[in-house]
Order: sequence, then C-alpha cells, then structure tokens
Amino acid sequence: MLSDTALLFIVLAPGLAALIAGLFQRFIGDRGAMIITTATVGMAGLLSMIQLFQFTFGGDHGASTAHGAEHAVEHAGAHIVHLMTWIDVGHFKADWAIRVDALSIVMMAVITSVSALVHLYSWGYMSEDPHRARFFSYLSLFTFTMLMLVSADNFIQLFFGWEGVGLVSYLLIGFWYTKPAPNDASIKAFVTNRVGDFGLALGIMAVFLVFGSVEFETVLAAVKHNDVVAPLALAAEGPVRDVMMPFLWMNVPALELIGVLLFIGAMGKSAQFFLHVWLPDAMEGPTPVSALIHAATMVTAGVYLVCLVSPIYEYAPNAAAMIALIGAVTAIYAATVGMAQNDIKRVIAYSTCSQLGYMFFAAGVGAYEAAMFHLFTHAFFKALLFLGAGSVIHGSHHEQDMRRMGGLARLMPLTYAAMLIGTVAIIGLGIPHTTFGFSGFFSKDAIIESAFAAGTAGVSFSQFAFWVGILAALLTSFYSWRLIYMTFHGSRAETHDEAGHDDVADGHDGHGHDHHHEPHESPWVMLVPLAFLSIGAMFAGVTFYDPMFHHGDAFWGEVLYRSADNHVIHDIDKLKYKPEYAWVFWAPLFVTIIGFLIATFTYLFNRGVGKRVADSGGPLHSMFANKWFFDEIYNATLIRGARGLGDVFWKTGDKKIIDGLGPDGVSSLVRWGSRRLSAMHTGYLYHYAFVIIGAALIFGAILFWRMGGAG
Amino acid sequence: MELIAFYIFSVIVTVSAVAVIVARNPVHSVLWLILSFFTAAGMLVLIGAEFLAMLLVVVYVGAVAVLFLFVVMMLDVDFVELKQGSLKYWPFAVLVGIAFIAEITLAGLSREMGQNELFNPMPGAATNAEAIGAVLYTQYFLLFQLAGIILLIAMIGAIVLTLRYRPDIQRQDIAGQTARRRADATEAVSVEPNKGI
Amino acid sequence: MMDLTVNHFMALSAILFTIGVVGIFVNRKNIIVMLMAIELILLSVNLNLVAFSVFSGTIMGQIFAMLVLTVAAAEAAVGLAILVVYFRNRGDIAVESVDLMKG
Repeated sequence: MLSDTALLFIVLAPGLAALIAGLFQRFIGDRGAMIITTATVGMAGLLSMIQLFQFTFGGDHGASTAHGAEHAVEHAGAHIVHLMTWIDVGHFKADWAIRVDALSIVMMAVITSVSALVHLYSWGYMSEDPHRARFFSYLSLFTFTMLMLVSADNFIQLFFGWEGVGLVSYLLIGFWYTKPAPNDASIKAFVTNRVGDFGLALGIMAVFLVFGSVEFETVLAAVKHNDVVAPLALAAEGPVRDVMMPFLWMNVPALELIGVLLFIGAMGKSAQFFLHVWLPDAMEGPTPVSALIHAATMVTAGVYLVCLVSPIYEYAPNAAAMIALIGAVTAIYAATVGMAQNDIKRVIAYSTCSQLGYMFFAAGVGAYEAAMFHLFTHAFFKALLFLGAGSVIHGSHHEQDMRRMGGLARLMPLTYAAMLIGTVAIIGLGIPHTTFGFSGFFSKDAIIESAFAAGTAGVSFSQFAFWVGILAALLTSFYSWRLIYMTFHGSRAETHDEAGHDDVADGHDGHGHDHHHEPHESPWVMLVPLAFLSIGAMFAGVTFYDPMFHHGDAFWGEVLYRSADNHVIHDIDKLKYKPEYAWVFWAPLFVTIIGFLIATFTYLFNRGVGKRVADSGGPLHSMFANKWFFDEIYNATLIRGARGLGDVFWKTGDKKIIDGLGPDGVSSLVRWGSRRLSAMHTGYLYHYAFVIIGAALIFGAILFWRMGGAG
Repeated sequence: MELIAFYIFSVIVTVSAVAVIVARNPVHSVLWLILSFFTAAGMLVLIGAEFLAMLLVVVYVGAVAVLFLFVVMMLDVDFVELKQGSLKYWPFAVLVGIAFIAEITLAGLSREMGQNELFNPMPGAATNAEAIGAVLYTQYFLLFQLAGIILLIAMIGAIVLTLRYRPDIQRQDIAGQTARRRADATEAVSVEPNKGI
Repeated sequence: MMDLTVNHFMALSAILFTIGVVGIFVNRKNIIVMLMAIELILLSVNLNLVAFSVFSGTIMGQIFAMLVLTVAAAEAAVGLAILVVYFRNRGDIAVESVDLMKG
C-alpha cells in the first residue's frame, strides 16, 4: 500500500486542481487549467495504478503496514488516514478520513486512471469549446468527489461524495447550458437522483438509529459479529440481526430496512430500473463526461455501496433478493431498449444500464466479487466504447445518429479498431476454461456462473437472474454489433443522400470545420486514451480474474463479507468440471455468437432489414424504441402529479394561505386599519381636545371602578 | 365668618367663570376671567396663602389676562360669527360636565372628610412668603431654575414666532447714526457767484 | 357652624374645572376663549393645590402651584403668539380651517 502522503495526494490533489482551474481560470487561462488538472489527475492515476498492482501482486493483502504514520489505524484490512473531525455532536461522530481497503483500491484505480485518460482525451474533444477551463475544473472536481466517496470511512462522508458526484454530474450534463436539451437532461438527472438519495439518506439515518454510529468499521463489525446493539429509538435492544424496526405500518427487521433503503440510493445513482430514466438523457453532456461519469465511475457508485455494506445484505435476504430482481430486470430491460436506439451514445448508455444490472444481480445473489470484478473491467471497455463513440462523433462533426453514419471504418481505422476491441470486450468473447478472452468475458461469465451457482443453492431470484443474464448477453451481442455495423460498415452514399448534417446536432457555435468535409480520424490526444483503454479492455480481465474473483478471498479479505451460508463462489469451482453443468459455462459464448450472427445478417449483409423492421412499427419495436414508454408513464403520472400538487401548494398553499394570511394579509390589514385610523385624524383642534378629555374621563372611571372593586 | 366670605367668593368665581365661557364678546370674557382670578386670589388670602394670592394677581391678571385682552383687541375677528352655532354643543358639553362632576364627587366621597387640625399656611416660618422662600431657594432650587428656563424658552418662542422683518418700514440705525462723522455726510464745495452748483 | 375645610375648596375646584371643560366644548370655534377655559382649568388646579397645601400644613403644594402658574403663563404666551402668527398668515382664527394635520 502507498504511503499516507501518496494517498492524500490521490484524493485531495484533484480537488485542489479543480479549485485552481475553476477559480483562477482568468489568470492561468484555458491551457493552464487543462495542464494543471490533467497533470494532477494523471499523477493520481499513475499512483493508484501502482497501488493496485502492488496490492494485487505485492502480497501485502490486508496486512498492510502504516508507513510511519502514527495516526493511521488498521481495521479489518482497511487503512484509515484520519484527516480531521467533521461532526462531533453527542453520539453522532463523523470524520474526514481516507479509508483504503481492497474496494477503495480498485475503485481508486478505476476512477483516477479513467479520469486521467478522459482528461487527456478532452484536450482533443473539447478543443473548440470556449469554456474548457470550466470543463476541466468540473472533471477534476468530479474525480475528487468520487474519490471522497470511495475513500470515506463513514456514511456521512460517503454521502458527501455521493452528493458531490451528483452535483458535478448535473453540472456536466448541462455543460452546454445554452441548449435546452442538456438543461432538461441535467435537471432530470438531478431530480431522479434526489429520489434515490432520499432513500440513501433515510438508510443512513436508520443506520445511525440502530447502531448509534455511522462509521463503517463499527457498523459492519456489529453486523458481522451479531453484536448486541441498543437502538436510539423505535426498537428494542438485541442482537443486531434480530432487531425489528417499525417502518410505515409494518415491523420489519432493521437490517432488511437499512438494506432496502441503501439500495434505493444505489438504484438512483446507478440508474437501476424505475430510476434509470436519467441515464440515457444524460448523454446530452459532452462525450468524455459520458465516458467518465455515466459509464465508468459514478454510476458504479451504487454497486460499490452495495458491496461495501455486504455484511448487511448477507443478513438481509429479502433486500438482497430485491437487488437481484431489480438488477436482473434492469439488465434485460436496458438491453431490449438498447437494440432499438439510433443515437450512438444512447445505445452505449443503455448498454451501461444493462451492465450495471448485471453487477447488481451478482451482488444480490451474494457474488460481490463478481460484481466488483465486472465493475472493474466494465469501466475500461465501457469508457473505451464511449470515447470511441466520441471519436466518431468528433470526426463526423457532431453527428450522433447512427442512421446517418456508415462506412466510417475506412475513414477512421484506429477508432474502428478501438471500438472493435471494446465491442468484443463487452460481449464477452472468450473461450471457457482457458485464459483466452477479453475483459468482459471473465467478468460477465463470472456473474452468470455465480447466478447459476446461487440458483443451485436456492438463493431467491438467482435462477431468474441467470436466465436473464443469458438472454441479456444475447441482446448485448446483438446491439453492440449493430452499433459497429451501422457506424463503420456499409457505404457512405446510402446515408449521405439524406439530409446530410443538420446543425441541430451540432454541439458548438463557431465550429471550425467545414460541414461538408468527410469524416476524419481524431487527433492523437484522443487516440492515446483509446489505446490505453484498449489494453485495459483486452487484459484487465485475464490479469485480475484470479486475484479478484477466482481466488478473491485473499484479495478482498474481510471487506467483501460472506456469511457462513454463502458458498456461491466456491460452488462455481465445484460445478466447473462437472459435465452435466458444462452447458452453463458455454451458454454465454453460444448466445453471444447467436447475437453476433443475427446482427451480421440484419445489419451487414442485408442492410435494409433493420430499417424495415423499424419502419414497420411493430408493437415490440415501438415499445423498445420508446424505452418501454417509461418517460411517457412518468410524465403522465409522477410529473403531472407533482406539477398538480405543486400548483396546489403554490396557488392555494403559498399564494392564498401563506401569502394571503402572511405578508400580504398583514400588510393589507395594516393599510386598511391605518386608513381607518388616519380618518380619525380630522385635523380639527377640538376633536383632539375631545379625545383628551374623553380619555381623562375614561381613565378616571376605570380608576374608580378598580378602587371600588378593592373596597 | 370665613365660611361666609368663602361662599361669597365662590359664588362670584363660579358666576364669573361661567360668564367667561358664555360671553358673546371675547373682551367681556377676558374681563370676567380677570374677575375670577381676582376672586380666587381673595380666597387664597382667606386661607393665608398670601404669596400665591399675590402671584396669581401679578401673573394671571397682570400678565396673562392683559395679554389675552391685548390679543383679542388686536385681532380683527368677527367674534360674533365665531360664537354662532355654539348652542348646539351645549347638551353634549353639559353631559361631559356632569360626568366630570360625578367622577370628582365620587373621588371626594371615597376619602375621609378633611380635618383642620393641621391647618397651617406657613409651616415653620413667621409668614407665608418666608415659608415658601425657605424651601424654594433650597430644597426646590432646581425646580425654581427650571421654571425660569421654561419662562425664558416661552419668551424666546413667542418672540421668534411673532417677529418678522418688514422691509417696507423705516428703522432707526442707532449704531450707524452714532458712527457718522461730519466728513461722511458733508462736502465742502466752493461755489462761484452767479453759477449755482 | 361648620368651619372652612379643604372639602369646600375641593368642591369649588371641581366646579371650576368642569366649567373649564365645558367651556372648551362650548367654544369649539373660538380658540381664544378655549385658551381662557384652559386657564380656568389651571386655576382650579392651583386652588386645589394651595388648599391641600395649607390644610395639610406642608408648603410643597404651594411650590407646585407656582410651577403650574409658570407653565400656564408660558403656555398662554406661546399659544397667543401662535395665534397672532396664524392670524397674520390667514386673516382669521377659525379653528375649522386648521386641518393641516388631517390624516
């Protein structure tokens, strides 16, 4: 493990760089801001990659030593650097700290390395944007908040990071704020995330209520050892796994409640079914942002959270089942929708959504290693796909509609190669039982196998998840190849006879290119990150399969907790060489090839078929193309309902009641009253005299009445 | 004997007070006011408060009433017209008056009837004026000064209010007159015969 | 026969006071008489103060009466001065036309 200084640098330096780039852009200029942020994040990326390799292959798993820092504390494989006390009120204590365990190491490596590559990539992609300093500042700020999230040692700091990445996500989706669509998308993302964050906040409150602490070590240790806890209210003292809590009108096990609430938070951030609607719209942001935030890092925060609190889910089977169910549904849902999209970025966005579904159901069935492993590999190939798509978009002058592309393979061969690598990585090409395969093969197959193994052990929804995983793998293969074929193959002529480029899709004013130029290959600053990510997409799986998944116990230590009943990972090994289960291991490859063949036939050899299917307007296609009508349903119910409710509160509640009785009412009462009172001021002397004398009379009368009363 | 004098005085003071407020001519009102002041002063003499009696005569009759008289006569106002319609206020005024009388009577009845053992218009001194002087310049010295300041302010106020500079009248410039020298005012001219100046 | 007591003076004061108050009401158009009525009221107060002072054997009341006298004199002087200025500006002293303080 790295020294404390290096850890501090990794976490805090991007924040500092963001501050400098954001606040002093006037003085350092765009170029200065770009250099500072990119250099800082690149350095952090290098350090955390070193850390990852050291940790993985250096043999100091968990038993890391504090490098000469006496304030660092070791806890169950976690290395905690205490920075300062943040909140200390009564029992409520939250620190600023950097907690590094296996999870954090993986997350930090993913975040900083992808972020560094995205920074570099943005030099090219954003080269014509007038607000580059702001963009880079946001990127670095995102890196900082995301690192805060994954290095938190308590729920409050995690929440800080959680909200921080939400904020930066909002800012970056709406980066091109002069156009309406990004603004709408950013608000949609923000509001949808609030729904999830509400659950997360409630979950954290429940944690504090039950455990009297928000520190991970305390809470998770209590769950692991089934300690007796004394909830602050609402529940009776007892062993934590037996504590019951009232929620709404039911009495539920506290761990189940906490698990579900935390998962709702994760659903929002990771765009799971019901709360996924913001992710596709978030593609309105610049493509590097989509790659970094909405594919590789932020959206995986939910998976990270679920894995982090794995002890809770181990003893909350219903919450875990909910995760498995929602994850599986998301996986299949997003895959179906992804098939019918025409916007290149939206296809990849739904693909992200689908892959997140994989991660969640893996975590839901108890295979946290598989989830984290897939998170790790997915970051590389999904960032690769996004950056490749960005390269395509950049090269074809901000055209995003795949129907207007085609034949780009000849014009941008390097991008094409990168996208091909990304595609074979995401569809999980590889040969079972060997070490040949791209990243996705190892991690996705690990998930599918875990689901099957869990199914044999009877874990809820794991059978369902398994079959969904298989089906989604088929669809993944189909839509990924569809993307490749539509974008890179075919001829340019058939697409160019349409309206050509319309300026609506153009992201920039004052675009330097001539619109009628042919698409061109991107500059080297954009290709270098693609190269690095290609390496990741090809080898991350094979390199880390053993340490992270297959022999994950040593790697993860106690961080990914498994209860005594959870044998999912070990079951896989048992099943692996039994002939009757061989089909399980070959099935993903099989369906992937089927998907590939369908896509090839439909989109490569008979290019009209896909268009004909789309034009025929079959109910299934229109359902997929319209994202199962989620936006429409939400518009009709939630949005309209909220708007109606807001109207009621605004017009009746605020304007009539609060304003009417409050400021407006008081002021009009005062005006009315003072008009009446001022009418009493006739200005005539004798009226005043009369008032004086009358008052004297009345006071006298009162005086006598009182005296008479007193005897 | 004193009681008889008191009753006579009180009848006079009451009648003249009523006359003050009902007289049609304000000049008459002022004269009735003077009479009531005089009578009140007489009553004060009756109970030995001679100093206050004299003060009343000097201040009220000598200054205030004369001031009133002066103003009334100076202002060219048709007072008869002002008096018009005052009849309709009478019922209300009488009502208020009755209410006051009732309250004051109640106040009077609610206490013990006065005793005369302590009767002494000049406690600790040979004369009433001496008794007043003994405390006025010692114990109540500040109040005395304050009263003086009030009068001074009233005087300044009255002067400031009524003073106005009128450019259309000739004024005597005493300083200018005394400062004049012969050289300023006269000139020696040698006049040739039969030529004029 | 009864002796002269403080009650006699109190009764007389009450009558004088009431006459003053009534005078204010009756002469609501004539501000000069109104001022005179106020003088009457002050006179009644003075009478009362002096009577209390004499019949209780303390000199304080007479001092107070002197102060009241002072204030009455000042009030009459300033009031009449205002009246004169007002007359000079408006040409009459009708109280009804003085409604600048109307709200």
